Amino acid sequence: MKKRIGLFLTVLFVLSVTLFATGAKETIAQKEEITVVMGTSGNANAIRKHLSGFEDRTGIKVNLESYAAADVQNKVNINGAAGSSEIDVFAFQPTTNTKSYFANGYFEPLNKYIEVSKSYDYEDFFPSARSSTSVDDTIIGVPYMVEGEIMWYNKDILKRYGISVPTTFDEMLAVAEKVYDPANNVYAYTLRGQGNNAVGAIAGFLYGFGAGFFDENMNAAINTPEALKAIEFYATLCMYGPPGMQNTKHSDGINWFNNGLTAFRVDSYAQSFNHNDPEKSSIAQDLGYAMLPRGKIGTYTPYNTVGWAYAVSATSKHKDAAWKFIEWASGYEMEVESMMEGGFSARSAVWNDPRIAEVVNPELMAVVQQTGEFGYPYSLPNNINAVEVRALIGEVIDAAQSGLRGSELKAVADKINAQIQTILDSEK
Amino acid sequence: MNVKEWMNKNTKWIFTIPTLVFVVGCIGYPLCYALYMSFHSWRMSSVNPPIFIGLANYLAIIKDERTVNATLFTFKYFIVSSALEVFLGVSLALILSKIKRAQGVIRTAFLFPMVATPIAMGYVWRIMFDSSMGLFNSILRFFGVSPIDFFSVAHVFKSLMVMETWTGTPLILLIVISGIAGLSNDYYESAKIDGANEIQTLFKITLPLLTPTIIMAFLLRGIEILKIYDLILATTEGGPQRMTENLNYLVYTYAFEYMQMGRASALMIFFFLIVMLFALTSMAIKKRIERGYE
Repeated sequence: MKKRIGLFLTVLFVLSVTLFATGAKETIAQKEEITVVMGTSGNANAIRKHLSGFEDRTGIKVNLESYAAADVQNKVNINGAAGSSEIDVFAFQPTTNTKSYFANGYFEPLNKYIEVSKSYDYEDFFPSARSSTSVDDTIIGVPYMVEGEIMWYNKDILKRYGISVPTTFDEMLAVAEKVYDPANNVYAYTLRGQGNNAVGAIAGFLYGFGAGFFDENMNAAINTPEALKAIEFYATLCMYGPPGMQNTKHSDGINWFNNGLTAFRVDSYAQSFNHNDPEKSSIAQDLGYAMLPRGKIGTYTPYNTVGWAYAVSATSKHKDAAWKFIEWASGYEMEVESMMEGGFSARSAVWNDPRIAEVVNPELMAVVQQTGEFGYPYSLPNNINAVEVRALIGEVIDAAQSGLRGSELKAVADKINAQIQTILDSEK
Repeated sequence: MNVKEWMNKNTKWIFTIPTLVFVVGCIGYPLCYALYMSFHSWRMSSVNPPIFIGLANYLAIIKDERTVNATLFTFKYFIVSSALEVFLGVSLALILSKIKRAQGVIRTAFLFPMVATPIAMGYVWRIMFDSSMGLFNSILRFFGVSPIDFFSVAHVFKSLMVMETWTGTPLILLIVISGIAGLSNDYYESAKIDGANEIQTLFKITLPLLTPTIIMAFLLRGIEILKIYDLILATTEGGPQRMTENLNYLVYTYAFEYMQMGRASALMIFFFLIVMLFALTSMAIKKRIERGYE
C-alpha cells in the first residue's frame, strides 16, 4: 500500500512539475515578441548590451537585427511592399527615405504615442532632427543619429609639411599644392570620388558656393553657375588626392586616411570611430578635427542632418510594444549609452551630460556644436525618388571627375538637370 | 483497387509531382508574377496597388540609353571572359591531365577560386588593385613605375577580366578534366599505330571528342557570366561612369534602389530571354555535334 501511495505521489509530483513547466512556457509564449531592424552603429551596440534589462522589465522579447545601410533598406522595402508584419521597428535614413516611405504607407504615425509619453521629452530632440522625421504635422520617426560634415586632419603630415588647417575654400587649394607629394606617397585630400558616392560629400561644397541640389521651389538646380563652380572645385580638390580618387568608394577613403596617405579627409563626423580607434587606424594619435572650411559665401556650410531614425512599421501587429522599445532606445539614458559606444545623439541634453565630455574628444565636440549651429539640413536630395536623383547628380560629378570643365561640363549638367526635373515634375 | 495497385499504376506521377510542384512554385510563379508586374507600374507601395500601363515599361527600356549600354556591356563581358575562360580552362585541363605527380594537390590548388565566396574575393581583389596601397601598385612602385588606377575608364575592363578569369576558369577546368578522363584509350592506341604525333592527336582526336564536354562547360559558365553581379558590386559598383553596369546589376538597381518594380520586371524578362536564347542555342549546337558522332 505504501508503495502504491509512494508511486501515486511520484506520478503526481512529475505531473505537477510538467504542468507547471508547461504553464510557465505558456506565460513566456504569451509575451510579446518584436523584431527590430537597424543599421550597424554605436546605437545598435548599446542596445544589444542593455537589451536584457529592457526585456526583463517589460516582458517584451526583442529580436534585434543590425545590417549595413543598403540591407536595412532592402529589408524594409520588401517588408513594406509585401504588407508583412515581420518587422515591427525599423531604422530609416530620413533624407532619402522619409518622403518615399511615407508615400508608400510604411510608417505608423507616432503622435498619439508621444503625446501620452510624458517623461519622454520629445522636444529635447534638435528641431531640425524633428523636422526631418515629420511630414507636415505627422511624426513618422524618432531621430537617433545626427551627422554633419567634418574635416579630419593628420597632425603629423601638417607638421612635416609646415602647413596649417585651411579655414576657407581658397586656402584648401593653397594647402593642397604644398602637401601634394606623390614621390613620397603623401597627398592632400581623401574625398569620395565616385559620383554616386560623392553626392553627400559634395553637399557642403554646393552650399558653400551658394548652390544646392534643388532651388527653393523644389526644381532641379544642378546646372546653375554656382553648382557647376562647386562641382568643378570639388573635382579639382580630388586631383590632389591619391591616384584613382575619381573612382573611390567610401571604404577606400577610410583606408587611405587611416594609413597616413592624406593630410585631410572630408566626410561625416559620425564616422570618427573609424579614425580615432588605434586598433583600426595608424594615425589615431595624430588625428585632428576641424570644420569644413568657410565657403565662398563667407560662412560655414556643412550639412547637418539626421543619419538614422526609428519608425514603427504600419503593418506591425505589436505597435504598442514597438513604441515601448523606441521610447526606451531613444530615451535619455540609452542615448548617453549609445554615445559612449560611438553614436551621435539627436537629443540636445545628452551633449551636456558629464559622461559624454569624458569620452568625446573636445575638438570633435566643438565641431559637432558648430556644425549644429551652421549646418544645412540635407546632405542628399530629399525628394520622393531621391535615390534615382542622387544617381543622376552623381553622373554630373563623374563628368567633372573625368576632366570636363566649363561649357562641356555645363552641357552634361543641362541634360541631367532636365532628367531630374522630369522626375520632380512627376512627383508634384 | 487497393493502395498497392494504385501506387503501382501511378508511380510515375508519385515521383514526378514533387518536382513539378517545386518547379511551378519556385520558378513558374515568380516568372509569371514578373511578367504580370512588367505590364504595371508599382513602387513597392503598400497603399498604392500596381497600375496597368501596358507595354510602357518595355518601350521605356528600349529607348533607355542606360539599358542599351548595360546590354552591350553584358555581351562584351560575356564574349571576352568566356573566350578567355574556355581557352585557359581547356589548356590547363590538357596540361594537368598529363601531370601524374601530386595530381590531387595541383588540382585542388587550381580549384580554390571556385570554392571561394565571390563577394569576399571581390573585396580582396579590390584591395589588391587599390591605386595607392594595393599589392600590384606597391610592386610597380618598387620598380619605379608610376602607379596605375586599375578602376579608371582606361583599365577597369581589363581588371574585371583578370578577376573574372581567375574566378571562372576552374569550373571549365574541372568539367574538361573529367571529360578527358572519360576518353577511351583505344583511339589513342590506334592513332599511335597509325603514326600520329602529339599535336595531331590533340587536334584530331582529343579536342573533337571533347567538344560536347567543352560546350557543356561553356553553357554552365556562360549562364553564370551573363548573370554576374557580386563581382561588380564588390569592385566597381557599375562605375566609372556606369561603364561596368550589366543587365543584372541594372535590374537590381531599378528594383531595390529606385523601387521601380515594373521597369525592373520588364528588364528582367528581357534579360531572361537573352539567357534562354543562349542556353537553347548552346544545347542545339551540342546536340548537332553529338549527332555527327553517331
